Amino acid sequence: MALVSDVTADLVGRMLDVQKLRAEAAAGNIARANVPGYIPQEVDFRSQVASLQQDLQQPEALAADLAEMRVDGSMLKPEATSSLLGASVNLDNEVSTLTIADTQYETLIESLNRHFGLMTLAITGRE
Amino acid sequence: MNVEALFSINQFGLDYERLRLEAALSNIAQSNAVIGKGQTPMLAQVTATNGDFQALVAGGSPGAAPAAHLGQVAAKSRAVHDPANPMADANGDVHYVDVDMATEMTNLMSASRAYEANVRGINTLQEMTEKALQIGGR
Repeated sequence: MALVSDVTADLVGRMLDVQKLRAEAAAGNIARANVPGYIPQEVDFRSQVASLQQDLQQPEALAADLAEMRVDGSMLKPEATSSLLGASVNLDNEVSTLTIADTQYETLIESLNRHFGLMTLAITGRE
Repeated sequence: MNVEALFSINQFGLDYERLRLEAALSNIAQSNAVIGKGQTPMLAQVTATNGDFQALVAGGSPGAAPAAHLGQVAAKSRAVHDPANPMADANGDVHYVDVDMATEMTNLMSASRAYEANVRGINTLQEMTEKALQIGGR
């Protein structure tokens, strides 16, 4: 148990991990685009996010969920692609995934900054 | 409606238009290829499943994302009288897939334009999100 339990920071931190994993998966797919037989991977975090959303009103349950949540290779699953060439890397799809992950990451960082800004204000009385 | 859902819709748009382009190219490519004995003439066609955009925009419920697939549909064949061709049948006809060039070229152009529009959509959405992050900032 941390001295100061901050569920918001934990939640945003975990989501930053997820977005980073998404970007890593997309970058890995682009890097292996021409490897024969390579099946592109994507991050599937919808189920985890859905369970987090259910517990948004209960900080204890949310903290427990966050402690259990593992952001690692186990969240990767084969990407569903359709093409004449079978399972292959679609560069446009990967680049747009990178763009989305980048935008989400920036949004999360900005919200974290403002969150800490509020805490600084509360502690010092000035920004 | 969240930004993620808008991005998902745009990504689907990119996928769909790329597949339409692929289908048109594949059909054009096979337009002058002879169909062998026992083969049925097939044309590539794109189908979208579960394309419930309203649900995706409204709630973004998991698993409701539409998906595009590249499939094949039976097509008509056209016969060309060419007895000298080794692939000719008993009547001296050679069979080709009946590809309507005008349709395929129209698909090609409209897919290309719609793809551009989707890319513009993603870029604009990203710019808007970045601008929104500056609200109240210094």
